Amino acid sequence: MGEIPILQIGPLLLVTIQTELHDRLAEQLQEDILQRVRETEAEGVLIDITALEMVDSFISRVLSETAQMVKVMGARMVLVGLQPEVTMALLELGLKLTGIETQLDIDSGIRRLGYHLAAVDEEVPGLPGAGERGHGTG
Amino acid sequence: MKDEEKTKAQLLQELGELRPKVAEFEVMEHALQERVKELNCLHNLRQIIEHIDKPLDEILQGVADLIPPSWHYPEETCGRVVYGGKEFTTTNFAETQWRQAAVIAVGGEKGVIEAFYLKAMPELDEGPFMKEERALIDTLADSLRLCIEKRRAQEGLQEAHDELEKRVVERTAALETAQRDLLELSTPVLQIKDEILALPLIGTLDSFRMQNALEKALEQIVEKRARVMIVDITGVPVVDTMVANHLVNLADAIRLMGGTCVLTGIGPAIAKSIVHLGINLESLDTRATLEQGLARAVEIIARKES
Amino acid sequence: MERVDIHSEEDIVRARQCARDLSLSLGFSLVDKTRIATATSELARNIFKYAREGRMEAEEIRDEQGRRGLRLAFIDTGPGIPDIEQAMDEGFSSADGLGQGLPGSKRLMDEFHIESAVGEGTRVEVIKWLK
Repeated sequence: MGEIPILQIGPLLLVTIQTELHDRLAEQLQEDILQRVRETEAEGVLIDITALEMVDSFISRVLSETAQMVKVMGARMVLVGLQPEVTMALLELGLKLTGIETQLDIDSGIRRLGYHLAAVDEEVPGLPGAGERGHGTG
Repeated sequence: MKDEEKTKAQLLQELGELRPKVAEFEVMEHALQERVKELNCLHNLRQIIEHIDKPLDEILQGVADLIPPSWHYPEETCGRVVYGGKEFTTTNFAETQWRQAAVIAVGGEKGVIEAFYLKAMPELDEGPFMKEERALIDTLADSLRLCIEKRRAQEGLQEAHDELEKRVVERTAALETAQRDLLELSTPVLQIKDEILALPLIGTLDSFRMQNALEKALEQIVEKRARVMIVDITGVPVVDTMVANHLVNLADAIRLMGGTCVLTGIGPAIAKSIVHLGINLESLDTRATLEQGLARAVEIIARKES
Repeated sequence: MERVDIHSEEDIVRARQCARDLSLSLGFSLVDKTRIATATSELARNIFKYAREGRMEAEEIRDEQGRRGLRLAFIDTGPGIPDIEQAMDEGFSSADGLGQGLPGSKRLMDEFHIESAVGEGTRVEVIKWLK
């Protein structure tokens, strides 16, 4: 098990990255996510990168691969919290994160995955088991 | 004839003829002494005034001190210079009724240089004072005037220089602010509805402006939690490959932030260039008018609601 | 001048942090700080990946007009780049984005200089000026 916590919220997994992501840690995270998807039979994975100060080509590739891998396992991945300055630098680098679904924040991410939060609390994304399936087209 | 052979009457006559001559010489010698004093005074004055670095106060005091030794009765003379609200006096100073003065006629702020006799003296040309002393005090006053005016001019020049520099700094700062304000004004992000923002782009879109617009747009998306950004190019006269690339970049950025970009304001001319240039805008929603763009935005929001 | 030796993955992070600290003390805007960190990551990773050994040198600089900036040099004694033009050509990078390092870094920074000789090594120098 790696250092980045993976939280389960009903059928979804929430990964909040708050530390500097070096290469090995990123690969370990990928591994951990796939393990947990299998263990929990998760339907969606939310990766929150609000705290990431930079996304380079390596991290971009790892995220891209993870999205594809998660999809192959029958789930969907949504990336949230991309900061404006990180977005700009990423585009200047020549990367577009194609193939990765992105949303503004956790709330939009959850809705994108086709779910609603039962609790109307912006701060805390609900307790495990609180999410319920809606009629989302996503 | 030798003096022993002369008669008493003849000697007395010679003596009588000599006396006035001696008296004359005494007067001439006295006058010469006075002239020497004046010359010394002028010489010293020159030396005092020539020092550009000396503060003015020192010069004025120096000139006041020049007065007693240059006047007819040095031990009974005291001097004073008044200028700029200050007084410069000799150590033995006392104001009396026996005064000889000259105005230091500097424009705007006059001064005065004065010589006083501490006690009554024999009457000469101007009260107890000589006409030569009048000439001297006038010369002193005039020299001081010139000296003060020169300094004023120099100060004025320095002030003008400093003022100019200050203005340049202020102007530069003002220009920078104006430039920033202009930039602000030229890329306003407007909130149209909940979750719908609009960015009207106007004029030529260079790299710098687009970067600025991009930064603003993304910041607003985060702040207003918007999901659709309508980018209107009605005010953009030319769309070439470079501009198109900027727009595609903008759309990509908006998409990465989880939003959708709707490009509006595409008239026939621009539609033609886009197709002729082979520009691919398929990653964006495009509409002819802002109204159509707004309708599309509302659609997108509605559809996104689960 | 700060120097970070690069021979492990952790060193890439160290290089980023060094560049970030310097850009912070110089007072760069948030966007520029991010650009600097991103370019550093790419160029430092290039050293690690292709040369195995190398270093980053970072220092604050000034030009004749008194403008301040940050200069980063990435130096290695690796195999060198046989065709620099090709390496700088975007179309040549691999699909997964790993070849973006050079042309991407050039876009992120204000100045970009590269020297390389086969068998001797490579030196990439980038500069970002404070606006």
